[in-house]
Amino acid sequence: MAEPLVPCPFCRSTETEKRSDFGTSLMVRLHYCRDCHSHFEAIKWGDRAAKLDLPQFLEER
Amino acid sequence: MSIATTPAFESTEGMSEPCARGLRQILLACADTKLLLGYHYGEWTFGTPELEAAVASCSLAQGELGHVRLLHALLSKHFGDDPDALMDKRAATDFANVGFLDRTVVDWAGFVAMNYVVDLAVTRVLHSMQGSTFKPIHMSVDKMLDEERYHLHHGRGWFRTLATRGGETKTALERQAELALRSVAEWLGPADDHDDRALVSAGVKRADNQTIYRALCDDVERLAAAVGTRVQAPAPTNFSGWTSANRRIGGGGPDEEILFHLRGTKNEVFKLN
Repeated sequence: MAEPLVPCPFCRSTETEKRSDFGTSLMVRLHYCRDCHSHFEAIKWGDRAAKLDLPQFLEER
Repeated sequence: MSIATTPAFESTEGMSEPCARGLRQILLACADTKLLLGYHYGEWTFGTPELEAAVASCSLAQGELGHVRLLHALLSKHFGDDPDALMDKRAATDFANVGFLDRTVVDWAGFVAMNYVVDLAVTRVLHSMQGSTFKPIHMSVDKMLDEERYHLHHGRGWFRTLATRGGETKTALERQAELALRSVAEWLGPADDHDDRALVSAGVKRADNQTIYRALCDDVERLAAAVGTRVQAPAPTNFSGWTSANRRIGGGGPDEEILFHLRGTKNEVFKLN
């Protein structure tokens, strides 16, 4: 199965690639953005599918 | 999402003086509050009601301190501020953080009020700058808002937990949440803050601080009502003595002991260049 797309948290670009299966903790992967040249971490299971307890203004993101 | 129908800014060039001044003050106010949030979250990596909360608190601290770096980078690039001086060289009374964080957070109800109410207040201010006409802030704001979703999820979860336990726990939570809300009202300032108005009319912010405060109260009251509790804190009506540089009615700032630990003063001699 293809890796899910991880958008860059800095610039929203989807031109990203996974660099490592482990970041600063077990729960995150390390990614790299080819557009803004930033490294960033993302939680492995993602949160978009999981329902977080948030007020509406943050739900809309 | 864009709030801009007015011209966009690549820097502070072309901004009116009140707008540029207001932008620096609100960025500094957010950075200082996040710095103090980071400090207090860091203090709660032990002594939490359960181990998972300690791990979460450590993560919250990391998040806030990362946001401070982003905000200090903006202040450095666009206003010539020196991040080291912002940390180490200012008097306590020059800090523009939410006053609730000036002193030690003494119990878990205080932690939850800080995590839910104070953290949410800064998030609301940042949200008002999403799609700002001041373009250099876009990437940083988006990143911070993404991460704040987890902070808020944690704060709301614990707010629900403590409120539904009832008795003294619920009373302590209500008291701390009201103190936090009152402190945030003071931090956001008076309705006639000209610099804040200038930010809104230039499209740098989408909402003025009074609107942000009402939205915050609505968030808090809604959740409180859903879990059978009540949190209400009328905003101050007399803001005499308030300045946008200090954001407190009676002056003051973080306790010197907190700044001593936060700055690592006792280890100054070991600091790396």
